[in-house]
Amino acid sequence: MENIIAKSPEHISREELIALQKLENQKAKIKRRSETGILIGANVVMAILILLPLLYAISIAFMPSSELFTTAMNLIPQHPTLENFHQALVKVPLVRFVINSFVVAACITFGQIISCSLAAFSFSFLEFKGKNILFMIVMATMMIPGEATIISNYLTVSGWKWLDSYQVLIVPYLTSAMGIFLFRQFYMSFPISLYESAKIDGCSNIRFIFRILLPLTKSAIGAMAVYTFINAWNMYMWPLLVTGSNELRTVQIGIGMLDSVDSQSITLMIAGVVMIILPSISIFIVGQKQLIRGMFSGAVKG
Amino acid sequence: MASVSLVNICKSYNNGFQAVKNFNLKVEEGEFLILVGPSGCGKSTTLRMIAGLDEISDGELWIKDRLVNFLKPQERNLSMVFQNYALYPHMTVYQNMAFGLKVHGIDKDEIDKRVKHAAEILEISHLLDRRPNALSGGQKQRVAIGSVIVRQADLLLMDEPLSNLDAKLRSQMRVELAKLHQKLGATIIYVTHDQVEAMTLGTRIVVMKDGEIQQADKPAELYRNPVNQFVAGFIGSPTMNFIETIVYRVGNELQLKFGNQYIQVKGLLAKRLLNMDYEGRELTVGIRPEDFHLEGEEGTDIEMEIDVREMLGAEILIHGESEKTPISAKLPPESKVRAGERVKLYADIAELKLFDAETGVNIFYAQNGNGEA
Repeated sequence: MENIIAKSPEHISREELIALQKLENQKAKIKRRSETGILIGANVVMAILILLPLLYAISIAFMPSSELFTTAMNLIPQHPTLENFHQALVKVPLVRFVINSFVVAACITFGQIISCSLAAFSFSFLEFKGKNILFMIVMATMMIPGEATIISNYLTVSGWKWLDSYQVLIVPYLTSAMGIFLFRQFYMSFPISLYESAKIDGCSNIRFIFRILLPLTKSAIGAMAVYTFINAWNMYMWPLLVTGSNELRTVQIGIGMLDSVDSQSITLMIAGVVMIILPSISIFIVGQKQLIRGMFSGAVKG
Repeated sequence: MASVSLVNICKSYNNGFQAVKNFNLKVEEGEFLILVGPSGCGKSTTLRMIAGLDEISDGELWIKDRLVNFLKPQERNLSMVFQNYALYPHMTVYQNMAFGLKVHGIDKDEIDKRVKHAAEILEISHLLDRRPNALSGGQKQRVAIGSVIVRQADLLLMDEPLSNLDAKLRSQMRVELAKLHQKLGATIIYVTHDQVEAMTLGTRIVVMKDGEIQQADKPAELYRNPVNQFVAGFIGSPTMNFIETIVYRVGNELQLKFGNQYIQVKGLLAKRLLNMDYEGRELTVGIRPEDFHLEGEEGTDIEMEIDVREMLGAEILIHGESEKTPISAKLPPESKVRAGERVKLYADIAELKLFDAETGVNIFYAQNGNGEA
């Protein structure tokens, strides 16, 4: 083939040209395939490494205790059992905790979407004095760690006799600076002429928000919903502080109850953990596209 | 239909910048008024103040004998077409056109009738079920105009509605807009920075600069008798040639000298200039490219070197320099001129515009026309 390449274009025959073309195509195909193969291989290795704790937890959940506490390296259960799940459900009212967490997380998510989108609407569409300063103040609250205010919040809600109730779990989290920021960034890239056109058409602000703005910012809502729901589902410190009865405990605290001093069972606890991470993982899987799209919206001109 | 009066309208911002200064204008019923000017001249701000989207800092705005300064946009009974169409992407064409009517609580059958009628006028009946993202630029523009028509508002405002379209579509839509205005007879205030759009569409044109009205007149009048050098330069394509000259007297005649060349002026024009005491003073001579000819009277000629020759089919444009002054001329297509050549161009003295070199004012504006600013 080198002979062909060395030839000048006038002296190359049609057949030789086709052969050369085929060879070059073959080479390019092999190169592309090997590159893709290496990339996929590296990704699979990374994915296994990252997922290993989760996969091992799922494996342990199906393992009898006797298999776990041996010197052999049992990565996969030899005698899979559902006993751990059964025990976890019997020992603590896990279903109740799941329902509690679900109610709390759903209310917080809904509340934050409404309150944050309204606040973000004001910050991006309305003109009023001190708008920027007010927005800076809202943003500044993101710098205060939740732990710093938890005691004073506790004293406030206990003063209102709200302890051990749904509202104490929900109300303090009905808005968030992060949510306002996220929505505002999204609205900043929203064409202002749509708002002005709606205004000339006689549309009120509320009507504009619910008929035009929210339907057109579904990806921001999706991102916000996934982010908020997972955060609310994983809340630990606040529910631990303000709830005392089994009727109102959330799932993260319920899991802690599986770890008793008298009869510690790792397999039982892991079975509980596997059950409670399922909702958050499934929400993440369903909403991950929205989450990524929403997080990066407004980052570049689109 | 409504008449609109703007009385001493001003717009100033917190940083002291005055976008619109003492704007006085009366727009008659059924008029197609064009606000035209370079970027930042305040034309869009004026339109937005009329729409109620921007607050009026000072002055009075009357629509149909109603002071509307403090009314919200929706209370002014007007509708507006935006530069980027402002169609709601999640609604179909039908829903987009019906939205404003729905908000106003108009009966469903009436909405249906109006939307279908407007769609017929604009020839978009087959697009009613489509979403905006499935439409071309021209179709989107028609839908935007349709949304405005169905409202049957007193006043239609258009903010550079054709600027997002390509050149061919723009000229096509221009014709359609003109037809639409004839058909509807609505009062339209239209903002553009494109002087061709202004000249072809408007029944009256308002040329603006730095927030002030320079001239408000009919297109032909604006072209024939511009009030100052800015208007003369803004209207017309290619732009008017401006030659800075000094007036010398030679017997009963005057010579408008620039470099080693001059344009001879005699008769009434010379008399008028002498009466106005322009002898020895500087004058800017304005000559439109089409007012240069290859033949003419001796003394009205200037010599120029052709840099570029553009053959446009129906005419030839030549661009070059004469005494370091850029000159453009429009010649008949059969003219035998080539780039690099030196040619003599004869100016049509009757069409000369003379501007005071210091103020830029057309010194014969009042004598040539009605003198209304």
